Amino acid sequence: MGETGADAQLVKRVQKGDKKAFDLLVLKYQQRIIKLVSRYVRDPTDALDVAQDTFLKAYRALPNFRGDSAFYTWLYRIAINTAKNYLVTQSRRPTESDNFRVEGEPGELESMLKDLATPESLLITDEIKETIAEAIEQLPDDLRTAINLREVEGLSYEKIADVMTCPIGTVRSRIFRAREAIDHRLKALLE
Amino acid sequence: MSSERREQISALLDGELSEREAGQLLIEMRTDPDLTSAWSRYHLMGDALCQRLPDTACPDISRRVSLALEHEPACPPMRFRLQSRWKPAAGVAVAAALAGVGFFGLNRNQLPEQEAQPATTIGSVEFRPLPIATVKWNGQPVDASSRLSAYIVNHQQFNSSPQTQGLTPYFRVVTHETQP
Repeated sequence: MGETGADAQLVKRVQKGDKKAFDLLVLKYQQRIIKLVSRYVRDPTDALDVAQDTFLKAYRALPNFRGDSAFYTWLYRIAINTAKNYLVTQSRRPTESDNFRVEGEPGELESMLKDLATPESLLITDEIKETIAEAIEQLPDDLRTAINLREVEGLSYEKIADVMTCPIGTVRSRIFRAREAIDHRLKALLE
Repeated sequence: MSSERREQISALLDGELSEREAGQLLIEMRTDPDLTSAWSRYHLMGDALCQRLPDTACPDISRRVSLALEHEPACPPMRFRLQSRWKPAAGVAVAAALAGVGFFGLNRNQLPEQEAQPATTIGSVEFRPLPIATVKWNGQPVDASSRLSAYIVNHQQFNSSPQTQGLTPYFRVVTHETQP
């Protein structure tokens, strides 16, 4: 089926009216989209708004998505266009110094920053990376090789089975066990 | 959340789960937040390993998006689209239909004019069709302006803006010109 196949399955479900399936696509692609949008929009809070807008636009346009390209390719284009449109809009807006604001009244930016700074929404990238790297180091060789071949090299289970000379079922089990071991640490960090 | 379900999520994430299994799992994920969390963390791992995480922080915007989508209707049905293999056939069908309309339309115009129509009687009232008045232009110039005023006043029902009083509406809908 492949990654694009999994996406296609979720997309089909959304097109049939299953909103929950779209939540799964958001969970899957949110970090990539935020990273992509951040290349255009420097303000982190604005970047989140643009990323959110990207997903909303994608949801609204999904009935017309025919699957001619991969879902992520399509989403990528929407993100780029949304970010560029945002920059155009920003260039037309008056600067912050031109805006009148009542002293002591919290501005939009401040309130967004406050919203962002909750522990559940803000995770430090380095901390996540370190935790995962440590967890992978402590994996047995067969699990580490399997997860690296899958996640870093992007090989299918069939190819990994060829490389590791083992059945596909074993590959699936090794990758899962590797993820579980990493997840054990990651979950502790996120909680 | 069973280990079996988490293993299925892992396989689904890699696109290695059968459609039947995936369908069943996705149904369960609708109601089990632990399964959804596992899906989210497994993806976070993959993004970290492939350097796809944002530079400084990894905010979770899924709740914001989900909340915003609460007010959105479920995805509207897909617009009807012809499969690409049917497109040429559809073109031929449309052309054939137009040709048919043209053919029969022309034939109808060639019917003999003013044939006597039989009278129809409903109850005690006899209905006789009115003869069709045909006025053919004989090529002579017509004094349009003298007849136009009477025409537009007698056909006010075709006025595009009945609320407008006076002669204003006629200016917008009626005109004539003299060919040199």
